[in-house]
Amino acid sequence: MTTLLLVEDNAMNLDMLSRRLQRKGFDVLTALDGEQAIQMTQQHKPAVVLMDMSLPVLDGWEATRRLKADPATRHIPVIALTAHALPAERERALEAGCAAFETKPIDFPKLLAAIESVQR
Amino acid sequence: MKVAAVGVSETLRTTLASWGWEITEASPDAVLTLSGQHLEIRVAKSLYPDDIMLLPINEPELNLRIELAQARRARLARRLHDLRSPLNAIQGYAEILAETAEGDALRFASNIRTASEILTTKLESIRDEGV
Repeated sequence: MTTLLLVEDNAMNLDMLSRRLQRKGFDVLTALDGEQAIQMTQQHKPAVVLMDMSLPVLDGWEATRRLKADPATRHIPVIALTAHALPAERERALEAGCAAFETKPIDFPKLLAAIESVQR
Repeated sequence: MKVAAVGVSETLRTTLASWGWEITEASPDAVLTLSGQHLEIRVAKSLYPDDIMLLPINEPELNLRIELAQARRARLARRLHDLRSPLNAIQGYAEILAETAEGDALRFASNIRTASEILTTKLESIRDEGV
């Protein structure tokens, strides 16, 4: 079973998206902020991290940069999930080291395709 | 309008561009020159003094206006962001319901989804107008 780490500080979005991913057969771990995201990634080595970018404690950009700087986690692809739909936001996420970028509201089939493609 | 800008700061050039003026040295319609506290706008091919206009330019005030416009854009971007998060939940839960619902419930779930898609499109057009 593929393990995903979903990082999201909004309780409803966390609940909604983790349910949908579980229904598709994924094992879903969750984190509520960037620091937890790093701990969970180091500890569980998920196949893919789905990272909301506006997070408390440590934001998604910085958390992604730290994951990419750590040899133990650098190979794990991060998909940015953001409610910022501006083109500059996409650049910013890719610069931080994200492998893909999805905007909210999430297009679920597109997200599933991205989860598939970043693992190749 | 195509304008040639002489001795005009980068900040002012950005402002002129935001007015929709194309800044070019090649066959301009008008020539802009900054002289003291005034921006002189001269019709490019005219020799008549009547075709010259002087706009008062106060650099601190201009900079303040630019800053205010930037702050307004940032505020709008934040507000749009705040709207997208709950919209994401509405749309996602409607899709979950639609996966298992039947009859009226299925129709209602799909209506909620359609309405949230319309809202998303509207948010995007607000963003394109204002950000």
